[in-house]
Parts: sequence; structure tokens; C-alpha cells
Amino acid sequence: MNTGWTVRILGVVIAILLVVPTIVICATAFTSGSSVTFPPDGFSFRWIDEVLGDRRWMRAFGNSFAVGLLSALFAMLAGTALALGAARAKGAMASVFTAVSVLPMILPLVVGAIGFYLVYARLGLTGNVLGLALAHGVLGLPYVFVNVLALLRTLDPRIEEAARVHGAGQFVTLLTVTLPMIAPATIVGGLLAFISSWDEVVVAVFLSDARFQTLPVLMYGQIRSGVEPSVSAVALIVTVVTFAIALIVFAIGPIRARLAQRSSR
Amino acid sequence: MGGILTHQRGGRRWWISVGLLGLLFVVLALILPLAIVVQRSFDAGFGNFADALASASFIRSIGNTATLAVTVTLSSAVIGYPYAYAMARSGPALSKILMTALMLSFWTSLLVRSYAWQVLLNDTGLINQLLRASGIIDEPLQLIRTPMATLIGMTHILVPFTILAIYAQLRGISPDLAIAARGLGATRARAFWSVTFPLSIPGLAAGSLLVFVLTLGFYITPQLLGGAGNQVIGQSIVEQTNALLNTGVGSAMAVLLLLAVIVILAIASRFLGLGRVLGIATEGKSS
Amino acid sequence: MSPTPTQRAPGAALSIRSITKRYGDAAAVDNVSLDIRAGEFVTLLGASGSGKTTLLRIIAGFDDADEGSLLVDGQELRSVPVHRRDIGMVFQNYALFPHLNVEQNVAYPLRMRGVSGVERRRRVAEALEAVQLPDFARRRITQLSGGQQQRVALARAIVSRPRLLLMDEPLGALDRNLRDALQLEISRLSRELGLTVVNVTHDQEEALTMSDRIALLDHGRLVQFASPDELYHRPADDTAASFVGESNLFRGAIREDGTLDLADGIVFSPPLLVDGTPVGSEAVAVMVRPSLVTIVAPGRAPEAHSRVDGRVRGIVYAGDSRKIIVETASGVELIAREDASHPTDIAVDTHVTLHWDPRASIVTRLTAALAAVK
Repeated sequence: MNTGWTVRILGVVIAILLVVPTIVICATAFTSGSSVTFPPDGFSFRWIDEVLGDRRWMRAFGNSFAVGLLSALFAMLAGTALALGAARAKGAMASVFTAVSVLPMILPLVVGAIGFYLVYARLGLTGNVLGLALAHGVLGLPYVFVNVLALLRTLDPRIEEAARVHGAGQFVTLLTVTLPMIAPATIVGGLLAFISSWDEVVVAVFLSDARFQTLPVLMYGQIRSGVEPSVSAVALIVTVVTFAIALIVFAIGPIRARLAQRSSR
Repeated sequence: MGGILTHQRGGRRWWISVGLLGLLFVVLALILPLAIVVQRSFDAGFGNFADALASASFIRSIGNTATLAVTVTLSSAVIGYPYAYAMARSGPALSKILMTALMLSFWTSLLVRSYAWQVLLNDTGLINQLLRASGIIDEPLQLIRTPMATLIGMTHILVPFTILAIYAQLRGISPDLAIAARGLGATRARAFWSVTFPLSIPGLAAGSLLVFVLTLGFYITPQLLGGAGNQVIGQSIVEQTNALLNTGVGSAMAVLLLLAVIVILAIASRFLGLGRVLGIATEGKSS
Repeated sequence: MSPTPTQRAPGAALSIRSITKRYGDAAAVDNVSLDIRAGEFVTLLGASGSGKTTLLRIIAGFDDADEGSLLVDGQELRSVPVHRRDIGMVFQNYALFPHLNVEQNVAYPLRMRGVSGVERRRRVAEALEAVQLPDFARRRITQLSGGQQQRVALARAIVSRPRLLLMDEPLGALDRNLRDALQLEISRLSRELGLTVVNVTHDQEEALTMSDRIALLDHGRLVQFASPDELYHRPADDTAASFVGESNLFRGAIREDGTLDLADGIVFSPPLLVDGTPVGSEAVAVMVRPSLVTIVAPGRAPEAHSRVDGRVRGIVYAGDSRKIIVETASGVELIAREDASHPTDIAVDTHVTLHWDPRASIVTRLTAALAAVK
């Protein structure tokens, strides 16, 4: 192979460095002691149990889930619409759609957070699922946009022409043919948007209050005030959920590729 | 003949209306808030900007942020390149292992990763334990709440972007090129530096640019790992808005940050296609 | 707009009147007029860029013409949106819906017309029978071969008994054997159902085999609209003559002795053009089919025959016939076709003379553009 031994060893060392922090912190969740140490003091599920039984954590978990699902929905709807516009409209409008869809990716999060806070506070959209879901929805939109746009570009336009020529108007074609064909990309994008919402802290902090918090917000507060293994337990749960969804995303990838192959010219 | 218009030009126009629905959402949910931030920043004329720029701690935070951005970008490049190279040029087994490790790290939330470094770097953390166990030091080193801690944490979080960008670029460069160079007499190192590396620069530049821009807006990691003396812009903004409830000045700082990002991207787009920068970034999370 | 499906009369008559479509300065379709009878199988034949696909897409409604009109049974089609034109269409790459199975694909046009479930299933079964895929209803598209996919596409196109069946190079993606088999099937099916078919292809063999009439297009212009027989034996000009079937073409003005003004040999021109008018002094093209040309050693050609000298450049064996390619002194390439069972001592680089009975040749006008250049 091209690569010398040094590079390969270097790669493995860096790989270890990349994963060690995550592994360490998840391991500290299993300590039977009361402080966060590595290696953990004994092995016990007590901290995980404590978190699962703690109403505050569970409420935050539920909030995170609700916000994640709703924001993914917003991202999928808006992201798909924008991708369709970017792929099919001509010239200037297509560029506008693209620019608007990638804007959330390059925007510094704190800037967006302030904006959300200023506007949503006035509309009563702070401290609830809807407000945060709107904000996260627009932040997660690029994931859907990029995925759907990529798939749209591989589709054979003749398939939609076949639908139209055989009796389907524009809207019916969209509903019965186009959307089903891009569904895998929309779903992958939606899952990615969910994950980005699930992990998001800054905007969530701005839009949370004493009665409404998401998991990352609660975690962040705990970390700042005093580290306990319960925080590690939450970190473990958060990570497990993320990885589970990531696995689904990776499974859909090959399926999506096969479908794209079928319908491409 | 009016009917003809509906089915010919109606095609494009119809799709524009579909896109407009999505556009409406973004305008209401994001652009409007941004506009309000800009408006709020100007609600005392240029007063808020004056206050911000007069604040010594803000000026310091600008310096800190700039330094941090540069150092994080450099360390990501230095660490990321060999990793990407190993991933791109190794056999299938090692490539897969490296990619898996990368993904595992990439997909861990940044809060969890920042928290992890906090635990690793504090006085009783793993690093200090190892250093004491091996006899290198007697007393625990002050690793947490230092610029170094922030650098380590942010590099850990952002290096995947650089790695993925370089990896994508390297995958498009045929290994045959370097092999040909060596066939012509070059050493392995020479072949790399004169053939492979120059061709990989666009990927390296795109990844680095992305990391640089992302660093500018960071808040969580510096807050958890950095010390009081190395506040970054993100922290200043949050401090003004949340702690001091000074949304005017906070907005002004936010606008300045946004301007900086726009200017940097505008300059960079002269040399790099922005699509590459963003396309590569999303390739990471969406592949 | 469409009458009840079960009582549909067979295909409609399509009248294409002076259709023109321009892209910038160039005309992709240049003032084309055709009258297609109900139930007729018409092929639009031409090379790429001839405008045949553009014209088909105008009929389908995906593009609109700049000028002219399209009348279906007397009604203007141009103002009707695509989905209401009551058309069936088959595409080169099948364009089946990948997320639906065979039955759902074929049922789609019926669904769009509001046909109820029971009736739909019956007609889908009927259509699948007609294309010889009776047990395929539940199969997924990805499980089908190319030929099967195209048959499903055909079933989908005919299931609603459309007034017009359009086909865009339907056999282009299939291999030779499949193509021949499907050619016959499609012809049979369209005749049985009485459909009006407009087929687009660049394959002249396909056109000659399947069509009632062929519209030959060249650079957007209609060259000739006639039956295969007519097109083959009485081409309207030299473009038609050289496009359909193999041909040897000699272009030039006619001298007083009735021969063409050529350097390579003596080519007699028949006295009458293809359309019956006597030849005049303008430049013409004399055409003779390779199968009517005989090869002999130099100087051995009969006096009364047209004859041209040249050198053998290549010999191609094609099953029962043998194609001999001869190059004249001035570089013109000619073809002779012989029965392969005849022995021959002709080899590459041999000097030969090609000759034929002038009555076996035809003379045509030159295409307007060429004539203008001359």
C-alpha cells in the first residue's frame, strides 16, 4: 500500500484519541461511587436508574423528544419544498432557494439564538415545544435540503413526464410520484435534523425557562453547577439515542442508493 | 392561446411557488429574527456598537476568538491530514476502522464531548492521573480552565470537518499518480509533497475554512473548558444578553460577529467554491 | 374532455398543421404538416437533431410550438394541458414508477381517470394479457428485465384506450432479438386495438417494418411522408434516398447525352424523375441500390449500362450477402451487394468496374438546401 507505517500508526493513535473521551464519559456513568472518576469505582446501574426515575430528567427527555420530532417535521416540509424549488425553478429563484437553505449552516449559532429569543419571546413562543421546534426546524432544514436536492438531481425526469402524460396534473404528480421517490432522502434528512435538535444547547438555553427545559439544557446546567455521575448517566443515554438513529441513517443510505439507481436514466 | 401559458411556463412557475412555501418558513422563522437582531443593535443609533467596542473585555474577546480560531484551524489541519490520508490510502480494514472511529466521535453531541474533556482534564481527571502515575509530575497540572483546554476540546469537536473534507478530496486523487512519481525515482515523501499534497489543497482549504468559521461562533465549549481570562465573542454575547440583559449591546456584538463571518466567506469564495465548503460539510453528516 | 372509457372509439385522427418550434435562430421543427389517419401507425424517422423528438414532445404537450396547430379529431390540442390530452406514451428508458408494482404502474392512468377498483383490476389484467405478461401483476419493477419493463410500459400506455399512442424510441434500450420480437408485438397490438400511433426512431429498419406511413425529417424539415414502399422505391429527394436503405448516389447536372456530368464513369439518368416529371437542366441525384449493382473486371461492363471504375477498399460478410466497398478515383465510396453463395475472386485493392442497368436506378431532385449551395 501507499501508506507507510508511521501514517498508519498515527491514524490509529488519533482514532483512539477521538473515541476515548466518549468512552470514558460513558464509563463513568457506571460507577457505584458518587464522583465522576475514571476508571469508575466499581460497577453499578444506580446512576442510570436514578436518572431514569428522576422526574426532572424524564420531563426534559420528553421535551427533547417532542422538540426533535416536531422540528424534524418542519425541516422535512420546508427543506423538501426548497429543494424542489432549487432543483426545478430556473436561474435566479433557484439560487435564492439554495442560499436560504444553506444560510442556517453558516450562521453562528449565538447570533441565531439571540434572534430567536427576541422574536419568539414577544410571540409567547419561549418556554414551550413549538417555539424551540420552529427554531430547530429551520436549523435542521439544510440537512433535508442537501439530501433531497442530491437525490432529485439523479431522478429521471421522464418518470414524472410519464405520470403527467397519463393523466396526472402537476400537483397530483408531485404527490403520487415525486414525493414517494424522494422519500428516502427526506427521511434521512429528517433523522439528521432530529439529531441536530436532540444535541443542540445554545438556542435551547435561550428559549428555555424554569419550567421547560430540554435534556441538553438540563445537562449543561448540571455541569456548570457541579459534576455528578448522574450527568454522565444522562450523557450515556443521550449518546445511545444518537447512535441508534445514526445507525438507521447509515442503513437507509444503501437502500436510497439502490432506489436512485432504479429511477435514474 | 392563453391556455398555452399554463402548461408551458406553468411548469417552472409552479415549482417556484412550491419553493416559496419553504422560503416563507425560513423568512418567518429565521430571517425575521435576524432582522430584529440587526434592528435591536441599532436601537441606540450607533451607541450599542460604540459601547461594545469600548468595552475592554469585548476587545479582548475578539483577540481571544481570533487566536482560538487560528489555533484550532491549524491543529485540526495538522491532526486531520494524516488521519484523512490514512483513511483514504489504507486497506479496506483499516479505512473502515478509522472511519468508524471518526463517525463515533462526530456523532457524539458536542456537549457530551465538552463535558468529557472537562472530566479528563481536571485535577483528578485521567490525564493528570496518568501523568502522576508515570512520575512525570507530583502535583496535578492546571489543565482545565486554560486556553489549552479550549483548544483541545474544540479541536476534538471540529477536526472531523477537516478530516472529511480532505478525505473527500483525496478520494478523487488516484493513488497511481504518487506511484508513478515513485516509479520515476521519487522517495515516498517526495512523491507525496510534490504530487498528492498540492492536489489535496482545495479539500484542506475548504475544511479549514469551515472549521475557522465555525470556531468564531462557538459558545459551549469555551464556556465549559476555558478560563475567565480567555472569553470568546460567543461568551460575550451571551453574557450581555442573558446575564446583563443588555440586548442592545449583545445584538450589536452579534451583528459584528455576523459581519465578520460574511466578510470571511465572501473573501474565501473568490478562491474556493462555497458549494465545496458546504457540500463537504454536509457530506459528513449525511453520508 | 374524454368520453367514457369503455365506449371509446379507436384512435383519433391527428392533424399537424405548420408546426414550427425555434430555439434561438435555429428551427428545431420547421413548418411541418402531417395528416395522420385514425388507427394509422406513423413513424417519425430521422437522425438526431432532425426534430422528430421535439415534434413528439410538442404533440405530448411537454413543449409548445411557436406556430401552427395540432388538431385531434378536429379539436385544437395546443391549449389542452398535458394531463388532459388523453394520450398514452412509451419512453426509451421505460419511465416506470419505481415505488409501485406492475399492477399499480399499469393502473395509474385508470386511477387518474377515476375508474373504480374492480373495473380497474379487470382492465389492468386485460392489458397485461395483451402484452403477454399475465401473471406479473404483483411483481416489483426492479425484478423485471428490460424487455418486460417495456411491455409493462406499453400496457400502461394502452390501458385507458387513449386516442393517441406516442412512442419515443421505445426499442432503443433493448438488444437485437428483443427488439425484433417487440416490433412485431407492438404492430400487432396497435392494429388489434385500432390505436393511432406516432412512433419516433432513428432506426430505419424499425420504421420500415412497423409503419403504415413514415414521416422522414431532416434538420426540422419534413422531407417525405409516405408508405415504406414508396419511401424506399420512390424517394422524394436525395436526402430521402440516402437515408432509407443502402444507396449509391451520384449528384450532378445532366448532359445532353443523358448522362450525369461526372468524372468517374458513365452514369445514365432515367428520363423521368420519381414524381413523373421529365428531368430538366438542374442538378439531380441518380440513385441505385447496392443489390442491383454488379462487379466485374475493368472494361467488362456492357455498353448500355451505367458504369463506374474504382478500387476495392473492403469486403464485409453479412450472413447471406456480401458487401463490397469500392472507392472511385475521385474518392467517392460506393457499395455493391452480392449473394454470398456466389464464388468470387475479388480481393481488396483489386481494380473493378461497377455496372448496372440504368432502368434499375432512379433520379431525384436534390434537397432544397443542397440545390441552393450548387
